[in-house]
This record gives sequence, C-alpha cells and structure tokens, in this order.
Amino acid sequence: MVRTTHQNHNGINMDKIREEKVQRFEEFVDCRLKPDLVRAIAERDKVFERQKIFLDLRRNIENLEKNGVTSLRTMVNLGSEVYMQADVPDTQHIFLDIGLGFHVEFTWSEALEFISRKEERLDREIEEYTQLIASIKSQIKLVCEGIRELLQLSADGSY
Amino acid sequence: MINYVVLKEQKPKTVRKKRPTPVKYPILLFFALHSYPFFCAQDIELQLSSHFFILHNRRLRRGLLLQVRAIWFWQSLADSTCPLAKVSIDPLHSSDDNSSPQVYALTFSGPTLVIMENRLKGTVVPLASVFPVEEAQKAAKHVQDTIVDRQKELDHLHNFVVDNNNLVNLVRRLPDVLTHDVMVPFGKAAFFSGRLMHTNEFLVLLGEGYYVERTSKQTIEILQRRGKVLLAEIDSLKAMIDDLKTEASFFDATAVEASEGLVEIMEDFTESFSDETSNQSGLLKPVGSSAADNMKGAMEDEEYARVMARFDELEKEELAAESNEEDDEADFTSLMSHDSFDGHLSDEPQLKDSVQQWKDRNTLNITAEKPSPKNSPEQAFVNKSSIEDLKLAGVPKDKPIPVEKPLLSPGSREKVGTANTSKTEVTKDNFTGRASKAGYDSSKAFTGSIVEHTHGLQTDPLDQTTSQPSKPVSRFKMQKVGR
Repeated sequence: MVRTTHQNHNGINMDKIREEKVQRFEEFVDCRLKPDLVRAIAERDKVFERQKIFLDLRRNIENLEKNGVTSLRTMVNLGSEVYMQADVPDTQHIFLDIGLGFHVEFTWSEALEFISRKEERLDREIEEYTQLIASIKSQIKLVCEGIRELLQLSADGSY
Repeated sequence: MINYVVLKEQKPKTVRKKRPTPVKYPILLFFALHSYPFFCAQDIELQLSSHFFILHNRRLRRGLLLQVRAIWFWQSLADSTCPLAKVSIDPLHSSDDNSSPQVYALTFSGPTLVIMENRLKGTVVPLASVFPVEEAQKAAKHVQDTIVDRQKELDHLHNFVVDNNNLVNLVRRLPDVLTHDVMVPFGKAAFFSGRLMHTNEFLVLLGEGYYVERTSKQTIEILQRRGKVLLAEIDSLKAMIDDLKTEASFFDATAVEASEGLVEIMEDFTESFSDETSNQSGLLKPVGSSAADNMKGAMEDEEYARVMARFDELEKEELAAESNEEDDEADFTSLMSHDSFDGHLSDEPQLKDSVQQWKDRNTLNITAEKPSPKNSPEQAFVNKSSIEDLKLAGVPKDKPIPVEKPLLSPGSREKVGTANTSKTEVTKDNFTGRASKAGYDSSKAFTGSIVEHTHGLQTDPLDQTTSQPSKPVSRFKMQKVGR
C-alpha cells in the first residue's frame, strides 16, 4: 500500500518532468528549427533565381551567336511597365554583373565562360543549402520522434 | 470612470454564512457623480463574490439618510488609497433593524456609484471575467500586429508613389533630345551599351497584356491617373490604420479596466421599469400603489360631484340670463369681433360701417364709454340686426347647449354675472383681456351659443378638457377653438 503510493508519487513527478521535457522539445522545434528551415528554403530559392537568370543569359547569348546578330533593337522598361525602343549598335561586347555591383565588359565567348563558372558556383551553393535543409528536417524529425517516445513512455508508465 | 459603493438589503444569516460562493443580491443603484449624489432608481442584481462587499440596509424610505451617508462613504473612501477598502459605519439608520449594517466598497477614487436597494433585476459582472486580462492583451497585440502589417503596405504604396513621380519626370524629360546613350539591359544580369531611340514613343501597359503606344504627354497623363489611384489607396489604408489604432486602444483600455477590477452592470429592460421609476420619483410619498389607486378614485368622484354641482348652478344662471337677454344683446354685439360678422354684413354697407365703428372702438381700447344705455338709433339697429342674423343662422340663442356650461369656471361665472347685471361694470375689466376674449367669443356667437357663458373658457382648462369629449361640437367651432 505504502509502496503503491510511493510509486504513484514518483509517477506523478516523472509525469511532470516528462511534460516539461516535451514542452521544451516542442518549443525547440517550433521556435528554432522550423524558422531555420523556412529561412534556408528562402535562401535556396534566391540562389535558384540567380541560377535561372544566368541560364537565360547563356541561352540568349548562344542565340545571338547562332544567329550572328551584330545589332539589336529592343524595348527598355523605364519602370511601371512603360517601354521605349532602344538600339544596340554593337552586340559583341556585353557587360556582365559579376557581383557586388561590378560589371565587366566581356566578349560573347568570355561571357559564356564566366557564366559556366558562375553556374558551377551557384550549383554548389544550392547543394549546400539543400544539405542544410535536409539536416534541419532530420533534426525536426528526430525531436518529434523523441517527443513521441516520451509520450509513449509516460502512457506506458501510467498503466 | 464610475466606481462603486455597494449597499444592500439585509439577507438572512443562513445566506451570509456561505458568502464565498457567488450569491445574487438584489440592489438599487445610487449615483454620486462628481461628488453630487442623486437617486438613479435603477435596480440591479449584484453577483457577489469574495471580492464584493456589501452594505446591509433594510428600508428604502431611508433613502435620504443613505444618500447623505453615501457622500460620506465616497469622501472617506476617496481619501484611502487602498483600492479595496472596508469601511464600517455606525448604524444610525438601523434603529429597527435587527442587524448592524456593514459597508464595503470596491474602488473609491473618482465618482462613486452607490448601490442600495432592490427593485429590478440586473447583474454585476466583473469585467475581468467577461474579458480576461490576458485575452484582452492578446487581442490588443493581435491588432498591433495588423497595424504593423498595414503600415508596411502603406510604405510600399508610398514607394510606388515616389517611383511614379520619378517616372513622370523621366518621361517628361526624355523627348527633349532625339537619343539617349544608355546601358540596355539584357536579362537581369547583363547590359549592352546602346541608346534609346524614338524618344517620344512610349509603349504603356494598360493591363491584361494590352499595350498602347503613347506620346510623352499622353503617358504622363496615364501615369498621373495611376498616381491618383495610388493616393486614394493610401488614404483608405490610413483610415484603416486609424480604425485599427482605435481598436487597439480600446483593447488596451479594456485590459487595464479588467485588471483594475471594473465591473459591468447589465440590466434587462422590462415594461414595469418605467412604472417603477415614476413611482420612485415620488420617493418621499409613502403611498402604496393600492392606496394611490383608492385616492385617485376618490378624487375622480369628487371631481364628478363638483362638475354636476356646477351644472345645476349654471342652469339657474341660464334662466336668469334669459330675462336679461335684451340688455345683454348690446353688450354682446359690442364684444363681437370682425371676422364672424363681416361675412354676414357684406351686402349691407351701412351695417358694415356701423359694425366697423364698433370694432374700431373695441380695438382702439376706448374703454371709458361702454355705451349701451345711450345707444344711438343706428347702433340699436345694428344690434338688432346682428341678433336677427344670428337667428337666421338657424340656432335658437335662447336655448343654449347645456354641455357648454361646464366650460365655465367659478371665476368666469362671476364675470358673466357682472356682464348680465350691469354693463357699465364690465368696462372696468381689463380691456385688452376682454378684447381678446371677444375675438374668441365671436366664434361661439357665430355658431349660436350664448356668448356670456364662454367667457371663462380659457381660465379653467381642466374642466374644458374633461367636459369636451361628451359635447357634440360642430366642426366649424372645433376649428375655431383649435386656432
């Protein structure tokens, strides 16, 4: 009889501790891991976007090369979807954004080389971000599993 | 803010024993606003918990005493900084009460609401139980977040406006020269060096994929219209933010009030409430409702008897008046006013003139000569003919409508008497008053009633109103009276 009460007492204490643990884990998942995951995904999307820009650029330059375009007539967006005609007399030289606000004048072949290098780098970045995301996801899964186990255990203990 | 002092009727001791449990107590409200207390006569039911304190008191007729005492509570409690102070008072008023009164109160700074006795049902609920402090704070926070979001939107719109204005300037400047050397964007990460051509030709997106070719000026017009739309959006957004701010402040205030322990008093409206309050207004009159009814009935009987007595009295007077009729007639015509007679005399210029004379005399306040004894033959003729006129109208003047009589008040009857007996005395009366009455009387005369008996019509409006419904009044006369 006495022992039972003792056990019960212990059980209640354990339940309390478990509850606290579960709460801590849940807080960790909700307040730390999940925002991290969201942020990482957003970063990766940005890199994806940059990759797409360079992909388009490469395709465009290749098109220019293939068609042998030397002068270009295009529309320039002045803002708020107001366009004006623009004339490019010489398409041989192209200025590329190399980052940090610098633009370098390239020929087509040079530009293509730069773009392929840039793409490699972007690929690496994307890989990194993907791994980061995967690790965060795994951590979340781990903690969730831990919470589940704790709850199961407490459920077992109560019976 | 209204704070509360709660006074309450004595409850049986059994009830008082289980005080911690909420018990509904009937109470009456009593306001002491800005240190000036008055009876509100609203009764509510107070949900008592351990936080609520009560004054036990027994009788409403001690309202005045309690009123004075309530000020005292208010003052004494306002001095104390304790928000939940217990105040005990000496039982001045409870000489026949079998228990000593207890006074407690909630909060005591500012105007005080005193709750005293029971009449109607209502509930007092602590605001904190309806709007928990945390909930109110949460709601306030939520609204604040919404405000921040809207503010961001607003900033965004402001940026649009700035961009739009810059673009307008740019479009205005572009046609100044034929070409501009620019870096032509090629994708998002590349440029060609090039130049803008056809600087007065713009391709503007109208929406839904439709583009239109415009000149610089036309483009500027489009852009300015867009700017107006943007400004309107900004205005609406600002109004929205203002609303949200008000809401947030309301939630904040609610949270603060709830945490301060404010109570909300709710009272169901019932039909009997108005009756109760009207009775209540005569607070000092200790009359039960049944007693009041009896009294009312007695008063009605008394009034009826009085009216009947006056009927009889007037009947006698009528007889006396008939004997004096001929004399009266002169007076009668002199009192006639213009409008009733003009119609009848319009075809007799002479008569009209003479009547006009009389009228002039009356209106000019020539009070000294009331000339009936020394009437000129002409005037006599006028008098006679006017009487004839009345007779032609088809109403026998010697048979007055009896219901007309109760219209007279005793005071007016005296006047009638004087008018009947001696016409010279009449002139002593205030002539202006008589003149106005004459105008009034003429309308009666026109319908054939006896003029003398309606002198006092205005002097006793109560009798008039009570007797009128039973009286068959001609529509014309009603109209006249209505004027």
